[in-house]
Amino acid sequence: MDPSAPPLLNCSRIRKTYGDLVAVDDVSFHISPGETYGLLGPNGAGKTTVISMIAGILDADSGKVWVAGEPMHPRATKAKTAVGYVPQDIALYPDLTACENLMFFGRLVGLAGSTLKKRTKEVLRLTGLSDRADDRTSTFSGGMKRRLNIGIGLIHQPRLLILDEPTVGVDPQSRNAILESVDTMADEGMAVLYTTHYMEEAERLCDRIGIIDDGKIVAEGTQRELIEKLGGHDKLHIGITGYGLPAANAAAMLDCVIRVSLGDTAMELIVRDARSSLAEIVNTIVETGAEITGIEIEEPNLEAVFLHLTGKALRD
Amino acid sequence: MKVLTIAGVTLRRMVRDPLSLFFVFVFPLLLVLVIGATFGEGFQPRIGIVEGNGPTADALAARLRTLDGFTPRTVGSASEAADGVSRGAYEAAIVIPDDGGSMLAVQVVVRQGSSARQIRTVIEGAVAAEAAVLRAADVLVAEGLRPNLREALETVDQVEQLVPGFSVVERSVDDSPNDRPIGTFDLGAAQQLVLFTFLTSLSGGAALIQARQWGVSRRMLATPTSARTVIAGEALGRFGVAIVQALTIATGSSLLFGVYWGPLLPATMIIALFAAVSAGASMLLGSLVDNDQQAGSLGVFLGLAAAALGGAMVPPEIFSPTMRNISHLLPHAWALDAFTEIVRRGGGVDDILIELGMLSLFAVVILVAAATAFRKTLTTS
Repeated sequence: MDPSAPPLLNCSRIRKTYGDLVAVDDVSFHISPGETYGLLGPNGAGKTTVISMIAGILDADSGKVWVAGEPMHPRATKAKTAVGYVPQDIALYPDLTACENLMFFGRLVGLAGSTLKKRTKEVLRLTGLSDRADDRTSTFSGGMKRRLNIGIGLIHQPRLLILDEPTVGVDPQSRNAILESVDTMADEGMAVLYTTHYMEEAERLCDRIGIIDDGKIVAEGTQRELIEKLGGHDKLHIGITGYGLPAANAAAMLDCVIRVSLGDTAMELIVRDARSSLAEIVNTIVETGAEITGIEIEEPNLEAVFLHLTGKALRD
Repeated sequence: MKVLTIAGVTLRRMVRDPLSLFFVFVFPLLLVLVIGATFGEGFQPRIGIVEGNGPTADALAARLRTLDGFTPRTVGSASEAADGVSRGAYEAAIVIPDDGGSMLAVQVVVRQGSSARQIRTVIEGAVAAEAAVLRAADVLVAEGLRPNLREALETVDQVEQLVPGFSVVERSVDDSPNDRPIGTFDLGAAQQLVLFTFLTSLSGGAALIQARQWGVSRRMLATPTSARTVIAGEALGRFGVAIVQALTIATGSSLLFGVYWGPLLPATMIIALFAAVSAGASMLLGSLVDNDQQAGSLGVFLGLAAAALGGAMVPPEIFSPTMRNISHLLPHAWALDAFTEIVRRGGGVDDILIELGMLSLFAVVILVAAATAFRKTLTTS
């Protein structure tokens, strides 16, 4: 990811209402090339409406969406060419084969002739469906359908890939394959907008996360930034024998340590970034003559942040 | 090109579905075959004849057996004849009583309906004619001019050849003297065509709902494809299904059963416009209903109701004037009027301009309404 590159997706104060219901209210965010942005929110938060406006399915009542520098709206052609949209539903024709589905959507995004055939083969290989290319998708397992659903979004090698909960109902093996594919695509420079109900997916994949609730982005940043915004700090449990009090005092003097509590056989430290400061803390304790018998890091997670911000669990 | 791509998928999906194939192509042709076999050219109503006893009854039975246009079957009793007619074993039955008295009261047993009415009229005429011959022969025997009934009948037959007779030609006020002779088969096929083209199209509206439910339609909008193109593609696909079905019925019935559809150009125009109406109706139903199973049932109900009201299930000739006016609120009636004009009267495009205009109007109104409704389903939520 190149932070200096101009954003591939830029949403500026987009708003969408249905009658009196404000589905999306003043939402702004951007995604850079190679960046994976997670949009998290409980059901009915407005994620799908935001995605529909970014994909050019819906027009925003106000605000603007730009994709690859082009304005996005339902009649936009250039902007849509840059987008690969993978909806939450498995949007395939079950009575067509995998190959026919890919070629159908390939034609709609402007591919034709040998390019279309070549890309169809490539996507079938990428999704591991080459040997089922000529089978109707109604005969596919849920995981295979999900993979093809994603493959269709990739048929024209888009610069922005929108994945709306792509792993719902997928077996662990397929799910892992999908996550690895997303990682690979982001590494290759594709911008990815990812929504999910699975917090561990967001934590694993997303460079930045926007939390949306009641149509508004209520927090945005990297996982660590979000946690820190809430005052969340890591907790370090260190088992010790020997000189506990000098060790605790020495640790308390470190900048990264916020608070220390000492027990009979262990001390508990509240620290800013346990992983990066662990070596410094361990060295300091050892230098006082104490012997470390065990270390356990407890990091505040995104789930806690989400719960704090929205008052709901992610799967609500 | 994208319009053709979307339309092509609709056609391909229809071809992949064995049930659709059966109802689109096979079933209508089967019905044409059944109707053709029943009422088409070469069809002879089966008449059950219950013979009475006595020379006059025998003579009448013998002569009825030689009547042109009927296939006689001997039946044992009047009750057996009534049962046979009600079961459809015979189109009608004639019960000849035993000789006795001055009057031989022949009974004609038919079912209700327009074809039964026609058959009854023909039989009554034939019986009356034969009765006249028998009475003349009886007179010859009674006057001693001939020794027996058989010779008397031969004499009457000879005299009948020499004396100019009368014939009755029926003509409706709507008919032209130049009308082409036509069997029920021809117009029956036209009725099947409009009935099934519309009915199958309406049922096909379920496929549009499925595409919406699966999210495929919305996904199309996320590609560089305008809503207008998606709508046009879906409409063209449905038009393709409708016209392929209509042309299959027309061509198949023409090749297999010799059905005459009138001159090519006007017949093709009627079929194309009616297919456009059907495609619009299919899209409209597919856009207004959210459940594909509901749409399937509703499609069958609406298709049959429209066919019944529009004159595609019962002959429009039996409609009252009010019902005829009501039937013209539906495209079926205009299409059937147009077919009647070109098939029976040899009319061309000039002669069916009003019908073509009305079908065009139906097509435009329904397609615009369908496109509006479909666009709404695509661009909301």
